[in-house]
Amino acid sequence: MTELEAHGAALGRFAGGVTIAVAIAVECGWYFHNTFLKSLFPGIVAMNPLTAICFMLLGAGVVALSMRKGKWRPYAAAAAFVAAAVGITRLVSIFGGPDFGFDLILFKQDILTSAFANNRIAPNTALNFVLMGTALFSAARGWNSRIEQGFAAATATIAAFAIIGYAYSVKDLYGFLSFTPMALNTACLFLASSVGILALHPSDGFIEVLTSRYYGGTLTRIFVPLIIAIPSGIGFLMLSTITSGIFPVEYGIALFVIILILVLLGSVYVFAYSLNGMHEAEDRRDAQEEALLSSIGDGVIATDTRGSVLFVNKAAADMLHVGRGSLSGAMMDEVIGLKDPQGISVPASERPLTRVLKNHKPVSVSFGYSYVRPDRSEFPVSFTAAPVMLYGKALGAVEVFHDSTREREIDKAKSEFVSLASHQMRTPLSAIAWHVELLQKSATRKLDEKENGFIAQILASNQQMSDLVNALLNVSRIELGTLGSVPESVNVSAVTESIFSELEFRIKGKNIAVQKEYPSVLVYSADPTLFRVILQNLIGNAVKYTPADGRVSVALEYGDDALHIKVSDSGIGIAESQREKIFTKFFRTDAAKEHEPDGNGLGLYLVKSIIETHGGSIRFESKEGEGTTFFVELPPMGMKKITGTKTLLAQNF
Amino acid sequence: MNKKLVLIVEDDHALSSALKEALELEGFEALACGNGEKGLALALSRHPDLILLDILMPVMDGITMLANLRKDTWGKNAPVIVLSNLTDQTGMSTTSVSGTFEYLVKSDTKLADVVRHAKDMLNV
Repeated sequence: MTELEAHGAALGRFAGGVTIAVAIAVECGWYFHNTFLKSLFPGIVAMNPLTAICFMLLGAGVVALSMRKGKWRPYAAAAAFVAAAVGITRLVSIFGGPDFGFDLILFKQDILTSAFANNRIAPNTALNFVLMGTALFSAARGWNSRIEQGFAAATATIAAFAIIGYAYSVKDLYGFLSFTPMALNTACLFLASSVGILALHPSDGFIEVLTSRYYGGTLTRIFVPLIIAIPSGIGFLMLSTITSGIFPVEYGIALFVIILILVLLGSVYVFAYSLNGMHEAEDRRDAQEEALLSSIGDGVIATDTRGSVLFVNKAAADMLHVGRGSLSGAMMDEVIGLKDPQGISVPASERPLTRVLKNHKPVSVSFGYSYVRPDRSEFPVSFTAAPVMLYGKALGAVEVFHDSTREREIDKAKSEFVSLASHQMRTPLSAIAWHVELLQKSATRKLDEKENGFIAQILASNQQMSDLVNALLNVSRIELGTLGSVPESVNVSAVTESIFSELEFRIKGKNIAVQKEYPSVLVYSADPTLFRVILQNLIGNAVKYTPADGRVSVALEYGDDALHIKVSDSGIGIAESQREKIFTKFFRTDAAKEHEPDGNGLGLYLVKSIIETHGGSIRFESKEGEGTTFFVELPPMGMKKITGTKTLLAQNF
Repeated sequence: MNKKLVLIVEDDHALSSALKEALELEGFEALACGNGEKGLALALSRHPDLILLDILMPVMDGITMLANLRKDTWGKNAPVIVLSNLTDQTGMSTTSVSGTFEYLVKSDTKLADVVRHAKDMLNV
């Protein structure tokens, strides 16, 4: 329940309570023959006792509907029905139908012998009971709030007629022909209970205009009381000056008209002034927002929910070589093409903007994508597309992008440098290895144990360096996009077996239990080298980071949806704080560095790059000190064929 | 029986000296030079029993030398082992059109393995 609704409910309970209290007072007035209680002022008609009963019902109904719990709703509906029925039977009898005389049941003698011809229910009172009953019934049944508010407003209007009639002594405003007129306290209670009903749904229906937090609401809240109070006040003042003979009638009315005109003009002035101020502020804010968006150095394009362009900033228009106006209203995916890292046009249904509009989640594209301008030229782009949400509803999407030519050039230069440098390093590494081999072979005397140890250390360090260089080269190949892939039917179980036999020495040395969950033949369409690198790294890591007497298991399953690879170990695990970095280039967890100082932090990066290039996914679950499980899914149709110029280099574990 | 002659065409001195030493230890006669032009001249004049050929070299690279060698009546059937750091598919395919040869990646191959391949090719 909002604050506004809570206030409304409190007002409803108050209005209902007042109605009930006054109605009870009226009954007491009849019982004790107290003129004030039953008619407020001497010499005017009293409230009929049945009218008072009906007010008790209506008041109780309003209170019931103002309660948080809904269980009183049926009682409110019943009360509304009774009040309306009383009104209808009375109207029927007034218009010549059968007269059941329900309004004579209580205090019949007093009613018939009242100062007026009688004190039966007035026609306008009866009509108001029908209107009010309908309003309350509608509220109790939860119909459209406009129904209850419309009927309550009608009731209040008739009551207001009566009150003004009493104030100005115009009997025709509160009485109908020779029938009993509406009592003053009756009119007041109709007003009170109408307010109670209008307060039931403050943020709904007609009342919303009054309660709204916008400027219109503020203005309405100020002007409604003034517009009721000022004419009534001035009118009363004029009337008294006329009747007391201070002004002649024409003079008084003319003055009344002038004052009314001035008051209305004043109101219009205040209205217009406020609206202009609001409009100006809005214009300024729009201009500010426009200036802000236009000044952003990145391209900004906003679209509606269908993908039609609403806004283009200057940077975007400049980058796309279009005029800002020419894109407005155009469909983004028809005007600006998008190519994926393989240079293939991304279909409209797969465009980030389409996905954002469908899933309401931001999408970032950072590497390898290009925009195709309307003039067919292209530029590398990185962008983030995000939904524009207002009150939980998507209004459209906004895309922020920039030309990543420079970044791409730098990245390419960096990768080329790594590639070149690594190539240059391989020759001296080979030379070292070969000369150590010569040393072992051609030494004139037999080397002692210590000297053999030194040589073994040189070879091991050399191998480590060689592995690092190979890994760096592989990474640069992936990043340069020169890594090719030629899928063929591969028995992935056999690949797994061969990796286990490569690692056999380490597995036996650490007494690791190996669990294999795959058939002896499992054929999948894969590039043999790339597939091998994936498993080599995952299984190699599992063995490497599992302490002695641990357990490593590999499961392969070829389902309809994917080739599932599961590599699980009872190793050191990955600390929670370092999980998100695990696939980052050169990153190694603290535990990994401690457990195994050798390692370059490139393996998982390479694995993830290969898997994602081929449309697969990799994730893991890990518990520190208990183990890690990697889950890989590769697309069911196999790995992609990619025309590249390089192959992967062997790595050792 | 004469010693078998192996021609080493390799611009990196450290590598060529290691190869020369290893081959001589195994009873071969080894001859080394640092680029394809010299290598081609030596090959055509000395008719070695085996040529160990690097690819990336100054003056004339190994691929050009191999192509020229294959144009010669003696050279078209001369046994060649290409020793390279290149693992590029393009490098491979260019060399593969130039006739029969063996291909070894230096950093992945032990010196002993190079010698073993040489022996295999010469059937000794």
